Amino acid sequence: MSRRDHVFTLGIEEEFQIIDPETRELRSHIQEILADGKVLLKEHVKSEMHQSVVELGTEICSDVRCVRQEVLQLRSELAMLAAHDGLKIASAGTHPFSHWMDQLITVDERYTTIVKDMQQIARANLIFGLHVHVGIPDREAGIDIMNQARYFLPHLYALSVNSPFWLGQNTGLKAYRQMIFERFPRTGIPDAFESLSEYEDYLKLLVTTGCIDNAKKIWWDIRLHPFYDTIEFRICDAQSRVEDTIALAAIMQAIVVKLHRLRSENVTFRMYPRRLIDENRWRASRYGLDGKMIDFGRNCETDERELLHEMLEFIGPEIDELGSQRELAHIERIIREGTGADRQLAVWERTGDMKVVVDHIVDETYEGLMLTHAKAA
Amino acid sequence: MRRARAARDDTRETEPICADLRRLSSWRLLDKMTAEDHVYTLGIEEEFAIVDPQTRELRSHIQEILEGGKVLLKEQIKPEMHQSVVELGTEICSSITNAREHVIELRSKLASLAGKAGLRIASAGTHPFSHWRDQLITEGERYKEIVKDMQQLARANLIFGLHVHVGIPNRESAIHVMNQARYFLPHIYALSVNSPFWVGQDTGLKGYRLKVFERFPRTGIPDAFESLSEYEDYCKLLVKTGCVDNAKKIWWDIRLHPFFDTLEVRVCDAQSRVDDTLAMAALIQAVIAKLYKLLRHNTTFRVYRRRLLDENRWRASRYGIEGKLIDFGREAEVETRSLLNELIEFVSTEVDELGSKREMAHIERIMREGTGADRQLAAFQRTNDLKAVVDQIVAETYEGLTIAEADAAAR
Repeated sequence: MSRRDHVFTLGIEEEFQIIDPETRELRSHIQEILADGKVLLKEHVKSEMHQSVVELGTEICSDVRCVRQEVLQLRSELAMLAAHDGLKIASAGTHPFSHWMDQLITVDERYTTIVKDMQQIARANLIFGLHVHVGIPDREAGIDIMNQARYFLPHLYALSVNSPFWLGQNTGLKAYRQMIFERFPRTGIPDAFESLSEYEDYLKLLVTTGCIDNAKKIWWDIRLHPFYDTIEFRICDAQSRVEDTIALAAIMQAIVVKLHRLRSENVTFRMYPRRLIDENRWRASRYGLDGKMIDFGRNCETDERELLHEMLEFIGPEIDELGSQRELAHIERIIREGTGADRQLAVWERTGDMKVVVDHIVDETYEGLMLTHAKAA
Repeated sequence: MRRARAARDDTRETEPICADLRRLSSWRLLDKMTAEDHVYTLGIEEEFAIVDPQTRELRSHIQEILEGGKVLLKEQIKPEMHQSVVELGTEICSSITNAREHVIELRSKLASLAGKAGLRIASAGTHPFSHWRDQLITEGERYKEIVKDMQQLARANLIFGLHVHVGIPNRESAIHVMNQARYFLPHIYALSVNSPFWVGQDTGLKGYRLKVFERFPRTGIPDAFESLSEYEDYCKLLVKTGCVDNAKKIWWDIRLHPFFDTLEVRVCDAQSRVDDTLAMAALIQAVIAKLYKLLRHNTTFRVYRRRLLDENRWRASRYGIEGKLIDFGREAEVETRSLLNELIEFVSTEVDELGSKREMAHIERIMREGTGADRQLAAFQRTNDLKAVVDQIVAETYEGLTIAEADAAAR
């Protein structure tokens, strides 16, 4: 199949916080939202392990414009549902101060098993991510693209950092969410796989030996989805503004298209071992856009902003083809003005009040929503 | 001492180069021995908590102990990033018996120093309830740098480990022995788990220390390396690109020491009883001797990928010796105790040669009676009081010490 015949579809999952607008604490409220949301959101809304978390997932979308519509609509409807009960929604990698010990666990066999299995690691896993699926033509190409795309993960993460606070503390990191999630097994950047069969054998072995019951319990920063023909990017913190979410999705889509094109031209992005890519991953988590990352081709440290410009240039033709110029412009705005973490930290420095940080996240989460709906909130 | 001292943890002061070189030359002498002559020397580093016997909280007291310890412990005592932590490192020991004498002597001296200040020492992977926020950071440019670099990750890294060094004949072989020894790290960890509590919470895990440390980069089980050169190129690249200032900032569960010809196993939680420490050291020594012997016979233990070994590492951390680990050769889950018996069998030929029967018998006792974590949890279930857990850790830490003052202090 030539690249042009294939549509690199998009699907987006966002995890939201349910917030009490008085206390600004998380509220364990998913049951009510699910009950009311059945009609409005159907299978697009899901509960998570903690009752104060709600996940929204779009349909399969043919392009960025379509996915923006979906995300706007879903967020608006969720905001409306929350408003019925006087609550708000907020989108960021962590809640600045609410404690995991105060959250209720969703009643469900599956979550009971997870807590029994993972103990405090599961109970403390109160984090919020953005997952982006990009459709691929076939799974053999998929594993190859996954291998190559690993290199870009720290750069994508640097753009998306949005979790500087944890349990009321300024952690000093731009993104603390990864530090929480890393305590789970099968997280982080995966090793490269020689072939689709090697990947499938690995999954089978984990199931045979009782490590997992199914391949969805592989939680890497990127994965070839076990059931769908998609590459799933799972590294990003949840994004406050709709524009942030869509811009990151557009970049991921362009990267997949680019790497697929290279493959058809018999070229490949260089493959590095995880232990090297991890160095950049740590730097992204610590410094976001404000640090240096390693360019392993040149073997030197370079300002992250400069490397991001190079990355954008690398995928420039694909951005044009996919019609994602608006999203590219938004990425450039993030590079100029700062990430979600930078904005949270700026509010904190200005006010010294984490409740105001929550208000700020809520405001950004509602930015651009369909106002007749969202205004009720 | 030598090697054990240089092989520091994340937060150690850089040592003078001349001292390093002296130590280096003493290790290089081993090169001249033939493989048959080779002595699998041991060096043991233990990190201790300084505890207030009234409150049972950690006490930031390293400065005073260092002052008092200069004469008694010389360069075998070191501060760590947190002032409530103190590290002891033995000389290079020619045998496990020799190592036992050193560990007992060092612990006894430290206990005596602490006793003079009305304090106790305690050895376990974590303190059951003291909070990292309440601990003072040791003064010094180096620690300031680390906190600036690692932020909350460094401040929260209040954990205690046991590091065992085993001398090896040459670095080329050592890389291959390291590759193979990766397989056994989860098994060794399962025996050593000793950190079920964190900041006053029962975490539900037997070894929570690894979860705290994992947030640092360059931790966990390393990838296998094709050759010594590949390892050295990797270290050089990290230095060149400013990721580390020197290779001591590689904190894997096992590493070929950057400066000395030792394999350093760093996975174990600090062990409460001297007997536990020595048993871990003997097992580690026997594994390395066994793998080196295989190498000389042109065979190798199978090398598995980190992503597989990590499954067992997680299980060890979660369940200690109570769960199942995966036997990747058989591709099946097997009771951890049963796999440990196989491991003991596997290294039994070396145990005779190394003279560590007593220590291996203690491994069997741990398998029968439980790990440090199991004992901490039992104390908690009995008393529902984390202070009583601290008392038990202290009592075990003083078990078998020789100095009268230490005994007195324990009572």
